[in-house]
Amino acid sequence: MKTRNTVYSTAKVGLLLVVLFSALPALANPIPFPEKPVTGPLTFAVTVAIFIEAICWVFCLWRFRKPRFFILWILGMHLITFPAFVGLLHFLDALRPAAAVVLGETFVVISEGFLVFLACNYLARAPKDAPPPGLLRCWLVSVVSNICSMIAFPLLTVVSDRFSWTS
Amino acid sequence: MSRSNSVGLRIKSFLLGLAILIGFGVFLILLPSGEPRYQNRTLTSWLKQYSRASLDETNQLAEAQEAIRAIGPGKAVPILLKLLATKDGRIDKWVLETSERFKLNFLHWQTELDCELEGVAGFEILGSNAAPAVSALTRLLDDPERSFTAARCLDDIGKPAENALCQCLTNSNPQVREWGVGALAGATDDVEVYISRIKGCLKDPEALVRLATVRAIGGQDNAPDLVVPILIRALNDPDAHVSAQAAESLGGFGTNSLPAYSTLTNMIAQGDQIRGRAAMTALAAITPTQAIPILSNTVVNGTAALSGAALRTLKSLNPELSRQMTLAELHSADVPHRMQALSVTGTFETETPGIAEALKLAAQDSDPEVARRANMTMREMVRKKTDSGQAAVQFPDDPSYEGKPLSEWLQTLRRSSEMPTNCVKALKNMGTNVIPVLLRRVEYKDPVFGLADFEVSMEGVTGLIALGDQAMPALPRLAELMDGEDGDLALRAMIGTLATGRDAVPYLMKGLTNRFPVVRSEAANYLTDEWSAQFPEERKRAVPELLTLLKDPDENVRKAATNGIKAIDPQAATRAGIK
Repeated sequence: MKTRNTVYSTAKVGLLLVVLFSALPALANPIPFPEKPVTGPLTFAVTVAIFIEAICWVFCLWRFRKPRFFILWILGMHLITFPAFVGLLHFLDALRPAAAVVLGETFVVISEGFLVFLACNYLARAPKDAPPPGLLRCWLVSVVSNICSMIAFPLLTVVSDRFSWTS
Repeated sequence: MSRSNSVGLRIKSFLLGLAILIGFGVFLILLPSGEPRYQNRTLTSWLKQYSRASLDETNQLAEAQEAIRAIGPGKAVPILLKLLATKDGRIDKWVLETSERFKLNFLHWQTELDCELEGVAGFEILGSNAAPAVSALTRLLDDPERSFTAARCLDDIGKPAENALCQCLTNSNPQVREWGVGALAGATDDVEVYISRIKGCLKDPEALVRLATVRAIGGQDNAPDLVVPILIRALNDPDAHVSAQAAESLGGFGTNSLPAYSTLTNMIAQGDQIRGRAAMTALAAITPTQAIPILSNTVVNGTAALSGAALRTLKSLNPELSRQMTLAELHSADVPHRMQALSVTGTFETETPGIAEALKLAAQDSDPEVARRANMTMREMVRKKTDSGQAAVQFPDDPSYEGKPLSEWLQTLRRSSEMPTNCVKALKNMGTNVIPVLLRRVEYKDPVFGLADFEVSMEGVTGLIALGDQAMPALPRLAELMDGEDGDLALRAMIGTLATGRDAVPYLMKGLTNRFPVVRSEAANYLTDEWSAQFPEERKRAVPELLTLLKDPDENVRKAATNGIKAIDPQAATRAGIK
């Protein structure tokens, strides 16, 4: 039984590491990123916005069953969802910018809610007595968290301007 | 809830979530493909190609035109209308600004201007085939931000948009009214109808609209009876440009515009430059004989600007009279009159009797600006002659080689960045008798004005350089030229000495004490650069003179001397306090 638990824990940590550090083969057309992929202020704004979103997730699902190091799972999830969002914007750039951003964000909300639902329902072990969050709740929290990060992003760019962080 | 129920709910939720995720993903993938396509590319992609191609990219333009026509107006027009109506909302603007700010160039967002241009391109290609869009475009005329674009598209549609174009004439946007005036010409078959439609625009509060109307009416050259009276009335327009345009148009009607004679002469008498010029040109076209006394009177009694214009107009009618009056005006007591006469002088041929002498005299004018302008005019006339190929300088005793005269070899030499070996060989084979001929070129002056001709002079210098060591006999004369009164010639003479290599170094050192700063600084530069590096001992002898030049009044000379000392003798530079 102990061996099984060890294997299970190792698999979970391994999965987390894979998510965090893996480089998935790019099968689609590559996106031509600019020479400087992320400028200083952009890195700052994106990073802090994702942190705010992660904190929001943790706060909203406080009483529910979650995997250990939940905040790391959320941050790791953004290694998939953020590039997916940017790629989607590139794919939808024939649309009006506002429409593309709304559709892209909707996709991110759905996928992040679904991924968190999977993590909480299939990977979480503790606390045993807490119920895992349902799919609808995950999507609702996903909406709230993404709204928070979307509100934070322009404010953070203003802050970076204020401190004159230029690229 | 039992454990099995809970597991069942989780599986159901998982399947539901997966289905929604996949469904939304599929929706997103299919979303951009709703546009009509040709050769697997969307309409907007073809429009983008067309609107972004430059006029000389004919293949790109033709390919896009073919594609958009193949897609057809039925499928294209709704999208074109959508593009025209596109406006950036606040979020759009923010996204566009943010993308630009963070240099996210991989996101090829379309601004509202891009969309507008693509829409316009589509209507331009489809032309009258886009007629189904007329009613929508007419509605767009009421949108102040899109009315001008709508008018342009209606213009492209042409005849089917006739009524809509009539509406443009009363649009609140003056640009639309202006465009409408011209556009309606292509959509109206009958001249009389067209003129009656646009005549009202002559009372438009905007001068731009009135100007376009006068131009459009003036363009109806097959209806002089209708047009001339309207144009005569337009001569009294409060805006000078409108009035001038009316005069210009009247000129195009020749003798049909004779009734305008008195109004035109009045316009000249009023002395306004814009109206007066146009009136004189019109009179010359309408009644040349009667115009001559009016023009000559204006030359004498008119303002300076009108006097110049009168001389020019007179030149087209009676060149001899114009020449005589121009020469007389060059002696006017009034400086602006002399300046105007000078500008007309430059329009005559150099050989015209009296012109060259008058210009040379004007170059000595007591007024420095007149003298400067005269010099400029002479140089300009020499340059024009050189450009036209009339001034290929050849001397009777020019040697030749392999059947080609020296001048041809020298021109080939001047046009090449490297020294062509056959030219060098040709010059060397011409022997020593080529040297006096080359020197004659170095100091050549235009025979008419007595001005140095840079091109011919440089031909001589290049020829000497090509001769290399064989140019030694030229050195004494070049040294004399270096001591002459002409700084530019002195510089060219010094450059000519470079051909002789080591033997040129004393001449460069002599150049360091030349009276002209340009010669001194160039001499210092030549003693510094790679050319003189082959003679280290010789150029080292220039250091004391270069040290003296550190106190030269000319900044360029001081800079060149500083660099020279640093390059030739770094220790001397340190001692002189040069860092």
